[in-house]
Amino acid sequence: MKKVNVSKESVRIVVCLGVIALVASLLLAVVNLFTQVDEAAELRKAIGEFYAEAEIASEVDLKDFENTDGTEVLNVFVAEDGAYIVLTHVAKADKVGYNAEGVSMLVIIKDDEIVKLSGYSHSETPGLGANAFKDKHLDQYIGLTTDRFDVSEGEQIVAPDDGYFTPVKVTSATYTTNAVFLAVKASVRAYVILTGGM
Amino acid sequence: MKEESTRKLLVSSSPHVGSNLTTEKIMMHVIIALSFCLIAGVVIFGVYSLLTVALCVASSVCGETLYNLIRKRPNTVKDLSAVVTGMILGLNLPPTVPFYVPIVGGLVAIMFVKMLFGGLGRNFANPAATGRVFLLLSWSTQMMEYVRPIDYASGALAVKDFFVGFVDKAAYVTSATPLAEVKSAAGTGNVEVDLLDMFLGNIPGTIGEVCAVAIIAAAIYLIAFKIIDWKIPLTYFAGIALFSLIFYKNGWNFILPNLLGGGVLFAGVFMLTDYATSPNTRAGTIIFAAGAALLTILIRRYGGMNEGASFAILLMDLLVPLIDKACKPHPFGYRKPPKVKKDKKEAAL
Amino acid sequence: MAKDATRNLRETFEPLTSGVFKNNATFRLVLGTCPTLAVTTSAINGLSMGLATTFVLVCSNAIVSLLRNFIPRKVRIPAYILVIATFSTLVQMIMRKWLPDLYDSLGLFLSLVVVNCILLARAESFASLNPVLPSVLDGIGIGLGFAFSLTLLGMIREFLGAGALFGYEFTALVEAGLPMTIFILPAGGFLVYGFMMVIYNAAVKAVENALKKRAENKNNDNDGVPKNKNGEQIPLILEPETGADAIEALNREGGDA
Repeated sequence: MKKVNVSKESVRIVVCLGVIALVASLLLAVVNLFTQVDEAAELRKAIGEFYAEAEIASEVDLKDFENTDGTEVLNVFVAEDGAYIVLTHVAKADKVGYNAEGVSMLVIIKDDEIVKLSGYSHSETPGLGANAFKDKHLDQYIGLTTDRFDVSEGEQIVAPDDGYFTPVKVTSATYTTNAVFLAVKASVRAYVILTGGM
Repeated sequence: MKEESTRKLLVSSSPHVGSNLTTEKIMMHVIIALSFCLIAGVVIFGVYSLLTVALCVASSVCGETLYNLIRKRPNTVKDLSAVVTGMILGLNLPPTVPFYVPIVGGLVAIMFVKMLFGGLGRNFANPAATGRVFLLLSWSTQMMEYVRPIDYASGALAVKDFFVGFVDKAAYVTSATPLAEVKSAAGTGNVEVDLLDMFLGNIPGTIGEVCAVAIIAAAIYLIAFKIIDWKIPLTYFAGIALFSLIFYKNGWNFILPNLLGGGVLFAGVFMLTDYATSPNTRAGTIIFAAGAALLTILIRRYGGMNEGASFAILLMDLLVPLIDKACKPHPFGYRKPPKVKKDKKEAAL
Repeated sequence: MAKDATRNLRETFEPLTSGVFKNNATFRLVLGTCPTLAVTTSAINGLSMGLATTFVLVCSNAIVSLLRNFIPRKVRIPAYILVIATFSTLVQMIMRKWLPDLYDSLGLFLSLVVVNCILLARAESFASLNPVLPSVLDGIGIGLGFAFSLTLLGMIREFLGAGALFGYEFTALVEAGLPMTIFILPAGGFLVYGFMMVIYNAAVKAVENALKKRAENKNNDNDGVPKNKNGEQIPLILEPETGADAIEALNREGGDA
């Protein structure tokens, strides 16, 4: 008699949990269908809104592109007016902000000059790390020519005194400033390589 | 003769040694010692330093009075400990901080660290050190802005805007402290600092920490009057020297810069020796001071900031109860009881 | 009759109001402190986290209450976690699609809604023992209370620490260098949380005392005659006419002489 009771309870447990799990999975699967985020389409739309001067003409194939340590050039687009739109991600733990996922920067370089740039994704704390993505801080990059960055050396944050650009740091957000700088430098490096400069 | 003796017989246990040293007198001595550093700071950085320290003292005193008012307790300001805290915190600030920095710092140091936890003798950490850490985290730009000492060759500093409370910034030249040089030279081992300048105080830094001469004089004064325990600063400085040797390349070059630069001397003499937060036993004080020295050097060498003394003091203060527990003195004649071997078989029977 | 109806209505909605003030999850129940400290760095983050948690809480309370007779006692915790996790993931998916900026800001903590103590605590202590409507109301109440306290803490920390409110920066303050960064850091978070707890509890106590006094005054009629609980007049002075009457009155009241 005791044996039957025990198995009845176990069956009930299994059935209960199984049913809940099944229903949950179905529900999540259905919602997932509706909330799929098409990263590529989102990126194109964001670029279209950000750089309204020209449409995207083509995308550069990055299959053979060698990234420097810690940075990754995710996408490079060429606009109709010849501008290069570069999306770079910086992820090395000791060089980015306090969120391990790192930061992504969208940099637009045209005719060897940085025309526009903005943070694409980051999870920095507002008031602290997020200050590094405000226009007030990013403005210092606009107008810089590609020769202000030492693109042969991937890692350097503190530039040597040979006229290379060193960013003004944001208070209490040194690592985030470094991450932004590294991302911009990697974008410039990608531009230089892809336009045959290196 | 009906001589009713009204003399009461006082029965009490030992000790029967008396002293007429009150809290107020001890604090007076400390204030005198601190004024050596204050005078040096004013001479080096100008009259605005005096205003900063005065504001800090005023807000500490007001903080304590306010708290006692709110809690409907008698005002304890007369024991001058708030004045001491205010002076120490004020001397730990850079000379050009805006007026709100010493005001908020004094209030926080007194109310959060001392009064909220029970008043004199019950603070969980050194109030001035905690106040400084609080200010450092709140207003890091203002707290890390150091200026060069007044160049007397070109005339004394204008006292313009004295009553408005804003320092005439244009008259000062911002400059990095020698510790910045120490940090950047840590990798190479060649540190270029002028030791004589650091000894006399002709360097950028906080108001009280720059003039080593004044601090040493103050230390001699306090030790002569038996106000502070000399073991603490001595162990701290020895520890700094030892750990500089260990953790820096070409360590010998770094011993004196680490000792004379930053707040090591000031902290060792005034902040580590706080009665409430220093350990009770001799062994405890050595552990405490050595630990603070180790943390200071580690933060300076491997941490993000140039100066690590305030954080080191705060951390070690938090560990003092543990240190006291570990170093509990044994009563006279105490012998450890022999360990009783637990025989499992016997217990099972 | 009308009085009974209003009393029933008030009793039904009691979990709603108590969840916001008397049983506030942050300041009274002290649940979910980890996300509290993490997301209150800005007011909008606090508000959105609070609302997201409210949604998950209401849904999970409803489901747990519906299934309360179906889930065996032995596996109730895993079952509740399954339910809570499902809704938490749903919220995450929805936010990622339609509110990407907020999703980026909240980051890790949106996926940690599932381990927020509030959800499991309310499922365990309320939803599993009560029918659906009270559970839903409790979920709304506690959730809104949580959202309220998160927003409050977020506003304080954002204003003191960044000189901004809901993203709107008070440039005059920021230019003057007045914001105190410590309030955005964890140390300041603990400080603000602690002080708000004191202030909040003092305020709730004061309000409760005031309400109690008002209720007591209501029991006393306008003519100042004291009444006992049932509304009967309490005689002020017993006036027996003779001593014998008094003794009789005493004997009548019962008990031995």
